[in-house]
Amino acid sequence: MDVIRTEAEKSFLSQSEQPALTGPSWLEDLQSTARTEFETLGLPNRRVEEWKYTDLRALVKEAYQPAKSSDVSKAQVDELLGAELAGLDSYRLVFVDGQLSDALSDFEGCSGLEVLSLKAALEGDVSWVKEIGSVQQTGRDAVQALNLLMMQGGAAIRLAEKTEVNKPLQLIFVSAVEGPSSVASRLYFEIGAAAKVEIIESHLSLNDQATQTNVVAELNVSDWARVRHVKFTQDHADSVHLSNVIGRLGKETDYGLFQVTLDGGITRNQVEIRYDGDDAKADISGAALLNGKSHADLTLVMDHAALGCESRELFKTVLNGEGRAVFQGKVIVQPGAQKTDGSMMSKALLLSDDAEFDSKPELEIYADDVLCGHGATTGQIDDELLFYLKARGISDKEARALLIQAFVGEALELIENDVVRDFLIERTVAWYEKD
Amino acid sequence: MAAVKETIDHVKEIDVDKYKYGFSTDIEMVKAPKGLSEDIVKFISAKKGEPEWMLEWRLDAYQRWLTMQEPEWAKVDYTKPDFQDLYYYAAPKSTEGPKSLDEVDPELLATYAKLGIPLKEQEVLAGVQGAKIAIDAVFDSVSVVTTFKDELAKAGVIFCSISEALKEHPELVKKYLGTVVPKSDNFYATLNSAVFSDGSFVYIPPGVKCPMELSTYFRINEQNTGQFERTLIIADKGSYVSYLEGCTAPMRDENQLHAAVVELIALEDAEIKYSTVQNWYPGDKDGKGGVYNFVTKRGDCRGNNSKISWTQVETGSAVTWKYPSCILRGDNSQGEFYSIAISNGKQQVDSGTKMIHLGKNTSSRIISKGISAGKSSNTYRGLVSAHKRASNARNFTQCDSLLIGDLCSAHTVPYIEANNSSATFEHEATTSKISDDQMFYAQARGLNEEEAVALIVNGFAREVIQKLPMEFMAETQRLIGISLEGSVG
Repeated sequence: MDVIRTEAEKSFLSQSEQPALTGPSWLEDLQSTARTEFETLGLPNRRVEEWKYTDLRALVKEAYQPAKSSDVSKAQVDELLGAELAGLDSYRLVFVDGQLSDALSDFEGCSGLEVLSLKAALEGDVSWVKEIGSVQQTGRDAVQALNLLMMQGGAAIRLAEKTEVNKPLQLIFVSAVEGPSSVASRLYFEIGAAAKVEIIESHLSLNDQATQTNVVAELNVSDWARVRHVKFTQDHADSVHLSNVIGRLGKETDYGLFQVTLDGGITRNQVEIRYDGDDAKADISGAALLNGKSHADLTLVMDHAALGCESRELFKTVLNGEGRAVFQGKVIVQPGAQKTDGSMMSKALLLSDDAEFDSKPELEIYADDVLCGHGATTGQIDDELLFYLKARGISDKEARALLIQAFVGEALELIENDVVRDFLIERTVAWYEKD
Repeated sequence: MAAVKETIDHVKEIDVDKYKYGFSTDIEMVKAPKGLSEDIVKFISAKKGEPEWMLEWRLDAYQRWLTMQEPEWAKVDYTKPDFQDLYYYAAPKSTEGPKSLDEVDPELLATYAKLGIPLKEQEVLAGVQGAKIAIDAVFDSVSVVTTFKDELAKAGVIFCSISEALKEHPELVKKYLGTVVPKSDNFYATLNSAVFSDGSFVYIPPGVKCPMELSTYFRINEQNTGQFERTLIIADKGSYVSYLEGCTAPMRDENQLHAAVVELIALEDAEIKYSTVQNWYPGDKDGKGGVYNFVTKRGDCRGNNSKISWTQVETGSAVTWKYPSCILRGDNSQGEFYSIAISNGKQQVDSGTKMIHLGKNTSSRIISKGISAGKSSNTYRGLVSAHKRASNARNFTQCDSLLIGDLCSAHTVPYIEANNSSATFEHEATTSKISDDQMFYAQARGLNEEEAVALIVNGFAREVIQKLPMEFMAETQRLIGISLEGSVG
């Protein structure tokens, strides 16, 4: 087969010749399938409908070398987190360049919570870990396939039935590399029936270096469980951040994911939620604030395959400079998934003429007794609102900041944890006060 | 839930075999041999006595078509036509210049009568009431009868078949043909460019408001004849025209391919209103034998302050693939798209629009109502984009889908691309079914189930129906009735 490969594709393939993590035979099978998959698909490009607006083949010119582990102190982590998150009473899982650091992490004292580094989980061939790679669907996503081949670190986390984790679980990904490097990691969550947990995931960079991150989080959420998940990314302007959150929801589960992206290079936040059990609920929302040449893509698939499920999405995007954002949200109602209630909203505020916003909210419906809708708006700051504020003696700059804050605030309000919400509000305020 | 149950039962009983307009007329055709080759393209061109440049244009399109792939992105599933198994040219025998309707083959006239197009009656009616509709009746490929030509000529309006226009006004055709839909635009448009048989040509001179609504009835006849119409409408500065297109087709077992191209050009301050009622044969209850409708329709608001408005009622065809679009090039230009798409049985519709904002202060409005019943699939696919220089571009889009029965599907795939901060785009889409409350309310007031559904569906699509010209409104309400007849409770 004659396939023209880019330099980046060639080096990804050669790097994946020797997977960083090997393990039992089921993993080898997965990796071999993934390899065929990546060989066939290559890096996603604009000819692939799901990647129409984020042409990785054109955007990713070279594949960085996998990161070597570096030393990071607790003080450095705290400084990166900022006072609010550092002070938050939580269980901590700190990943330095993808590797779970025993020294920096602290998750003792919660019965029913089990954490294994991905390496340990695979080497030990723990039975529940076998589900890794099973939540994602194979055969169509080259980035997910690449993750299986390249994954160096990450963790497998299990909550026993009815476990209510009493403090938030903070997952802190620190990039401490000294030069351009790549980090691929995978998280696997096995959430037991009726368990409750709050996950706060942040991706931060210590040395201001360009990184290529490929992170996949698989969540297997059992019946009646409740999960709150916040993910925050602030990357270097030359970074590539490819993220997948793939969830399978059981009966009457309640899953909430809120993702915040500030600037960065190329960010792709892909979310795939599959409703397997009846009457499950999911709220997938987020905010992106982009300046410079940042490119952020949010691609979402809500796949309703059960009765009476509910999905809610609200996304707010603010674009300045040459920022470019993409929103692709698809709600699928499978045949027989009656009484589905889906509503999706994406709003963008363009502050600059060089910014671009592309959105594609999709509905794919095969059942009749459903209530589904979506809305998408694009616009600039309302002159009348601006006038109203300025007429009351507020300066132009301040008035704009207030309006932006109000715009983003509508989404940020959805975050349940006060500390996290305040922290993110503060970060977004800092973003638009920067210029 | 009884009402729902009954609705489902009714859907199961769909009787599309009772297609009201299914019949065919035997008129001997002058055919080109089956299949497509450079010789066929030359044959068509020679048969029509076209100028040399036109032949070259066709041949160039043909060469490009050979290199193209049939598109597969649409959400439709069908047996691909065998392009070597089609006739590319068929003309009714009696085309040697009928001077009046009396000279037209009586069988042809009978066909029109069955279709409910009372040509003569309309002539008479128009004479009496002063409201005139000219009909450029297309029987298969060649225009047979063109009425009211004189009266239009008085206003300076040119309304004729495109082959005639090539003879009489070659400079106009050469200047505008292919400027909106380039000859290699897409697979089917390119095929059309190579082998188009006939179609309508309209030119409205500067400052003229066309004195009557122009109308073309398309009719697919003769087995295995793909129809490749080409319509070109030019509204010169400050002019106005309203154009109606309506279609029905006879029942046939083999799939009939229809790949038309419509090009609209609105110059400064001009306005074009293009309305379509499409009721081609949708196939039998297994979806067999219906028409494939792969149409490229595009309007170019070339001048400042120009306006193009598309209104469509889609009830027929087995497979529809149609995106009437507007290129809003001129400053302050406006584009509109109003659509009702009803699918039943095993019909597949993938339709929508593109609004491409290039000029300043351009605005567009999209209202799309999809009604999906039986085992059909109904997709809205649309694009709204604002160029960097299209400051103050404005769009409002509303896509509503109504599902009747649990075996049908409805999809919405809008693409919204904003490239400048002053563009204001709003898009909303909903999907729902007829609620039991609505049905109960209507039935409690004495309507039977069928009437109640018709009432609710008509209400659902009202915003679009209201945009239709008077002449089409009645036909549309009847069509909605026929389309849902016996299929929904």
